[in-house]
Amino acid sequence: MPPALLLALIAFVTPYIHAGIAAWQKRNNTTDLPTPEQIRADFKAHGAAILAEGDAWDAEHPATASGARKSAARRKK
Amino acid sequence: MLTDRRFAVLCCGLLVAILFAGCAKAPPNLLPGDLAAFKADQAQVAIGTAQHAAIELNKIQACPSGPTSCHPFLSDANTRMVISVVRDGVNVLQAVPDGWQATSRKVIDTISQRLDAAGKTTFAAYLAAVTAVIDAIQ
Repeated sequence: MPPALLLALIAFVTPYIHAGIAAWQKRNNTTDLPTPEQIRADFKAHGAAILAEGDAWDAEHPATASGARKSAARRKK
Repeated sequence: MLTDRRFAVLCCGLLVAILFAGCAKAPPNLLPGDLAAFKADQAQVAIGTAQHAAIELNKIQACPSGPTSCHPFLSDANTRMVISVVRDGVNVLQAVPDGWQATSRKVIDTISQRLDAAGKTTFAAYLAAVTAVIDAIQ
């Protein structure tokens, strides 16, 4: 094959190969990574879980004396 | 002098190099808003880990000179402060995910400033770990 023809063939084919790779990457990533809906749901769920953990500790360790008495009574039950 | 065969090999090498350069590009897979939520989620999980560490350290009793001198590794006051700061941080992250970097750094800075001396000693390694995780999100 003449060298010039080979170069022309490469120049012609390369953009199509790149487009194919980009399409494959896009398809692959959307299947491997979480969807935007999953990301938003996880974001809210993780936030709620962190707040709940803090609230649970606060409920068991009230800062005021009256709260401490109530908490101690709740633990005795 | 290049023969046709060597030229063909050179062109094939060039083609492979071009293809690998194409593969190295990171594909854009998320919209900016979703990307911010994704990173903000990682940041809030990191600061949530700090809160979890504080609560677990508060459960552990240290008895330096006998059973009468027992106290939590991390005091109630320090633990309450960590929970309060993390709560504020999570609420801000949920409202403004785009500002996850500033918010998460502010949470870490505020915790490290408000810890008392004993708390700083106990909690420094955990704060350093959380900071490293937040830095890695970028």
